[in-house]
Amino acid sequence: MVLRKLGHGARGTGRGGERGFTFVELLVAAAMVAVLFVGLAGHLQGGIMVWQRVTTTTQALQRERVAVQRLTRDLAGAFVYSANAATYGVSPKVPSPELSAGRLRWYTIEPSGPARRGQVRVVTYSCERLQSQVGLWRASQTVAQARDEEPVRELLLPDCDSLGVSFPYLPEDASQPLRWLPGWDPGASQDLPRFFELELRRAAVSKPPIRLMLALPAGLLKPPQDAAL
Amino acid sequence: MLRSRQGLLLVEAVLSAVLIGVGLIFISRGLGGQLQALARVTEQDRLIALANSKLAELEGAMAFGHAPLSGQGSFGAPDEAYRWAVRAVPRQEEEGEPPACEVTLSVSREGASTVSMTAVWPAEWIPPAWF
Repeated sequence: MVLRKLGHGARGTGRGGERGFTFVELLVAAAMVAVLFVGLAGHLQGGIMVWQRVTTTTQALQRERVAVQRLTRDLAGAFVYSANAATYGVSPKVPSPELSAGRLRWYTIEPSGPARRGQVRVVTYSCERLQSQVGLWRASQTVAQARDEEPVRELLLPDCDSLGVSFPYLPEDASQPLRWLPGWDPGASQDLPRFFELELRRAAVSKPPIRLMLALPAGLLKPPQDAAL
Repeated sequence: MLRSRQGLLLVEAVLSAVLIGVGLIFISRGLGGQLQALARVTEQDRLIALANSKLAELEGAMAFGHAPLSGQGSFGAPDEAYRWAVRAVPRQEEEGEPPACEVTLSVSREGASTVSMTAVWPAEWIPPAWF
C-alpha cells in the first residue's frame, strides 16, 4: 500500500492546478491522528495519576514525620510535675497527667524565650473530632493557662481515628520478656513509663496504623503494682 | 521526510508509528519508575520508623537491666515481615572513660533494603550474645 494521492487532477483541483487530498487520504490521516491522541491521552492520564499519588503519599509521609517528631520532642522533656497526686485536684486545679487510649497528657520542659530558659508546659494529644475534623490534635499550655483557659488545639495528623497504647512492665522472672499491658500505673509517686508503644489508627481502612515506640528519658521501668491492670 | 506534492510511503508511516510507539514506551517506563521510587521511599520510611522504635525499646529496657538475650528477632503484627538484629563492638576508650560499645541495629525485610542505626551504650548493658 502506498499512500499516494489518488485521482490525479480528477477531483479536488485547487487554484493554480494544485491537487488536494482525497477523502480516503483524509480518513486515513484522521484515523492515525485519532490513534495517536488516544495513546497520548492514556499516557497523560497515567502521568496525572502518578503525580497525584506521589504528591499525596509524600504529603502524608511528611505529616507523619512532623507529628512523630513533635511527639518525640514533647516526650523528651517529660517530667513528674508533682509526686503528690493531690496537687492535681486542689484549687486552682492543674490538669492531672494521663496516659491512656483516650488522651495523652503530661508535663514537659520546653526551651522558651531569648535566654532559652526551660518553661513548664502541659501537653495534650488526643484523637477526636474537633471543628468537624477527625484527627490527632495537640494542645500546649503553660501551667497558668492550663488552670483557667481552654487550650487552643492544632491539628497534627488528619484522619487519625483513635489511639492505642501499651506499656512495658518488668516481669517477676528477669529471664522472661517484658510484660505489655494496656494501662499505666503511675504508683504513689506519679511515675512516668520509660517508654511505651503508641498506635495511631486511621479512619481510612486502606491506611495501616502507625506504630511507634516512644521513649521518656525521665520515666521508669518497673513491675506492675496494680493487679487490675 | 516531507516531500512536496507526494503522499507518505508505507515505510514512512510505519517508521513514524514506531517512533511514536517507542516514545510512549519510554514515557510508560518513566511513570512506572516514579511509582517504584515512591514505593521505595515508603518502604525506607517504614524501616527507619521500626529501627527508631526498636532502638528506643532496647535502650529503655537495657537501662533497667532487662536486655533481650538474643540479638535478633522479628516485629509483631502488622510488621511480621520485618526482622531486626543487633551487633555490638567494643569502643576504643580514652583513659578514664567508662567502657562503652557501639551497638548497630539493622532492620530488614526479605527482598527489600536494610536500614542500620548505631548508638553508643555502656558496655555493662550488652549481653555476650551481641558481640
